[in-house]
Amino acid sequence: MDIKLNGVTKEYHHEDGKVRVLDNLSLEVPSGHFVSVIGPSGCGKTTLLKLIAGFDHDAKPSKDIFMIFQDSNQLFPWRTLGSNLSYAIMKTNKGIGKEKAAEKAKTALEDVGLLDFYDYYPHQLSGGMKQRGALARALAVESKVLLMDEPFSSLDRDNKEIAYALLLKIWREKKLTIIFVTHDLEEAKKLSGQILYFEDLNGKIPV
Amino acid sequence: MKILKKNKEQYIILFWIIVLLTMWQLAATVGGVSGLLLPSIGEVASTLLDSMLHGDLPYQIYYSLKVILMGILIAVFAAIFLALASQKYIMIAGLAKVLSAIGHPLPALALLPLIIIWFGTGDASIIAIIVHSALWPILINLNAGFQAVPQIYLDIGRNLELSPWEIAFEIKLKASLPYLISGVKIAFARSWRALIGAEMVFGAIGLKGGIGWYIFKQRTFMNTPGLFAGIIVVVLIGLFIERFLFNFIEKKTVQKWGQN
Repeated sequence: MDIKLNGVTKEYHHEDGKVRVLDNLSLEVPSGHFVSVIGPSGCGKTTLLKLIAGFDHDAKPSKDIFMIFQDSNQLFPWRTLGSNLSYAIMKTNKGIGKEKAAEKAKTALEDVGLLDFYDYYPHQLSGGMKQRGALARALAVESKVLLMDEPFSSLDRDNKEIAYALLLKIWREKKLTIIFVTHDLEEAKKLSGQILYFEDLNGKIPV
Repeated sequence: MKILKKNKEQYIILFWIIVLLTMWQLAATVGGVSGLLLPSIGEVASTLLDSMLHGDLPYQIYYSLKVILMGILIAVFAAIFLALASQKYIMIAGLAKVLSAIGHPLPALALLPLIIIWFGTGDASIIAIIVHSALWPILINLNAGFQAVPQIYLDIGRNLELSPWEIAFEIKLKASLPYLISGVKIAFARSWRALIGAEMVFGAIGLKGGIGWYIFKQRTFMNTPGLFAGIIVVVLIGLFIERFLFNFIEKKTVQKWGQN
């Protein structure tokens, strides 16, 4: 699934007046590519991802373009890890039975190495495991594009390495399109050969 | 360290319970206080047992619990409806604010004469008093809970293509459960007080039911041990519901989910 933005401008209203976060921004990411967007904190990277995901105003997000946030608390705390995935599967695949959904959830958890934690509640998991759980949810609903907003920034070095290897493996196997936002150049280099600097995106930059 | 502190607190509580009971027993037996004013613990216990086994106390307990449960359930559903509608419509949000501001500080018993005129002296009046006592704290807490739902859950809900109803019930309501439970706790405390008071008034004007009515009836017959027995039942039920029932609900939900 290709991602194309052409001349997008986004402004927020503040007490001091309007603040332009995205200014005539253009971006094109062909299907199956892994692109990192790098820029300092607060420059508008999250706004860009939310815009692509369809969180803007009246747009309708879909499971095809799935967002993985920086905050590791993105699994619903009232559901177990398995139930988080099964619920997501059932809501995005109308008509699928509970057993089939549980089976798919288990496969996705196996892909990220969390099958043993199927019955755990999110608060019983570490930050890295929660992020892998969120990734598993995106896989479980068969998203075509992953929008990742500094998802590993709160992890320690060892867990980051595990997460990088896992993400690259999944990207290759599932042929996903990934836009990975980070402020860490080393992280961007490790994950993708294609790195875009956020400041440069104010003109059309094809990848 | 924490466990030791908790144990110490429990011993202190137990100590004071024993001291108070001893003082009561001494005053009633060797203190020269008339049995009509202060019966001994033994007399109260024996009256309580007799009322439970042969009297109408079990029925009065059942009646009070039945109406308070009905009233609180109505209040919970009404609060959920109003809080969800407030999220969607700004006019309803304004209405809920105005009604809460008027209703929350207004004691239920102040409404009693009006409720009697509107609903008569049947169960409907008692339930109306409980709904009034319970609705506002639940609504205020639930509104606060909805305001505090993390945006990330709502974004994930939209990403999962959930309908507005599913977002309301799967995300907003469940994420707000700690607030809802706190609201129901306050609602129970307010309703329980209002219920007992209202039952005494309704008992006096003809309605026969409830622990409040049981206590009032004991006073009419100058049965002080029975009066104490009724008061003890009120305290024990209140304690049981606040300490055990709500704790149990919290353990099975928000504590299990790591949300408290």
